[in-house]
Amino acid sequence: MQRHNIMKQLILLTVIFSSSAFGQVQPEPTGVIQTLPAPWPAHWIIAHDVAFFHMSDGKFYVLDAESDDAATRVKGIFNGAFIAQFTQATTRPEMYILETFRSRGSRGERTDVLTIYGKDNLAPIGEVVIPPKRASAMPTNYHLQLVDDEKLALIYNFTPATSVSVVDIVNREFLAEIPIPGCSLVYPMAGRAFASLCTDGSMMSVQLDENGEQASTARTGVFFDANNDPIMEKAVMIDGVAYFPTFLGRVVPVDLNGSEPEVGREWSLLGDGDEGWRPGGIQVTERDSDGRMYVLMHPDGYEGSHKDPGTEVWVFDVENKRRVDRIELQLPAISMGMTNDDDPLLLVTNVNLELDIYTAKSGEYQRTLNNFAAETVLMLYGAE
Amino acid sequence: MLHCQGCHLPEAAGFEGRVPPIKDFSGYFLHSQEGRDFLIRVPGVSRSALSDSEIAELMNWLLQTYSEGQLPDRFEPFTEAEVASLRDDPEPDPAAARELILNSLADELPLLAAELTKNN
Repeated sequence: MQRHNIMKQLILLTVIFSSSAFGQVQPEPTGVIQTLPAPWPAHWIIAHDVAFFHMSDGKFYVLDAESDDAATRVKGIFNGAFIAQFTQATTRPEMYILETFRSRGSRGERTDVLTIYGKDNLAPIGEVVIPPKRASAMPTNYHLQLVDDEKLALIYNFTPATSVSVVDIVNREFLAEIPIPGCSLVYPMAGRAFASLCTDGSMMSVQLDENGEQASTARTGVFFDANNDPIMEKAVMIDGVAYFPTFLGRVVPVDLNGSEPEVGREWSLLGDGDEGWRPGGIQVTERDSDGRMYVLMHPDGYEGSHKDPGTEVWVFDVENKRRVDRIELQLPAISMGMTNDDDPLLLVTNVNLELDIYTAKSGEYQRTLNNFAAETVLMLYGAE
Repeated sequence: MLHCQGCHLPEAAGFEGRVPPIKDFSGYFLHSQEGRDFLIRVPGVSRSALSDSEIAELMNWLLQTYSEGQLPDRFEPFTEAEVASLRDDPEPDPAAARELILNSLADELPLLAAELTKNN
């Protein structure tokens, strides 16, 4: 059907071009810079094509997820080199990506950059060169985080010694590097602080001083067992609490609102008759504007199925620790995103690497976005 | 393999400029109390998912198998209790601590001094 439409469009275009060949053609204006609306409509999304098979030239597509018109739904594209990591501000029309460049493209001296993109015309409006040690890893939400009312950007480094680079994002300046020995990733805390997950099953937290240097650190007790039921690092943050699903389907809440992380009581995603269901995928958790938690789930889980596609999305009321909805996906999915409005769209990358759009609150399938040149969209974000 | 080779390479090798070697090197640390403590407080060991007794056993085996030549004349094996108390106090800045410890050891160990000069 799609293909048929494209063929019709091509034939139409051919007709237009041939009929205009009689001398009426005006030269197409070049160098035109268009401006996108501010703010972006709530159902615009950012799809990160990591270009898994040629990582040096990943792309971010800005798409209108409400549009059924393949020709106009792409609002813009910007680059993200070598498996970029993405985040966006809510208080400024800016997006931030972590990129790596080599002086000869795929080889040569390495430069790591935090690039700042403007939302009005998707131009790079600033950059901060950071130590060339950012973790080169598949994208997650916890390689790059903003804290302290979006004044500081925190970047996860891995050489394999682990550390966090602190950047003053307002003044576009690198401030400090904080060692986080034996720990990984950056989970945002209240104020100038962050937490990291540690291999022994604990979290460490770091408070930063006014210069971005380490002021103090703390450790939680051991709260997960990496050998028997590991937690997934792909937590979802709801009201300052990080909810970590475990491989076997428990969930561990860690409250990051205080000066130190506070581990809450774990609960199970599974109810009676749910035996064998497990969370799995690349980005497996999401939340909506009502604070409900979404988890990508698959049946018949086994040792090693934690990256398997989910056939359903389960929706949880985290206050009452119970499932409130169960969305059957029309095709299994590997990653999830959500728009940030009150009637949000649930965005998933399906197993054909197309984007399926659902109305989150009803679970109703809306449309599939494909044929926009992306190959491996692994992360999806609603516009802020 | 599961607990060390995320960073160190097979046969206890390092990765030049990034990961220190265990082979023909780790034994130097046992020439001072700080160095001995460091081997357990270093994050890959103190934060490992292994138990205290497993770590003691592993460290004693590693040192005698891969770095016997660098050990002091009287090698005192690590005990479970020693590991337990040290790993409770993980080293917060391993790179800086390592440099400090090795530089101070190098004053007394010409072989280590030569090794450090070679690598710089």
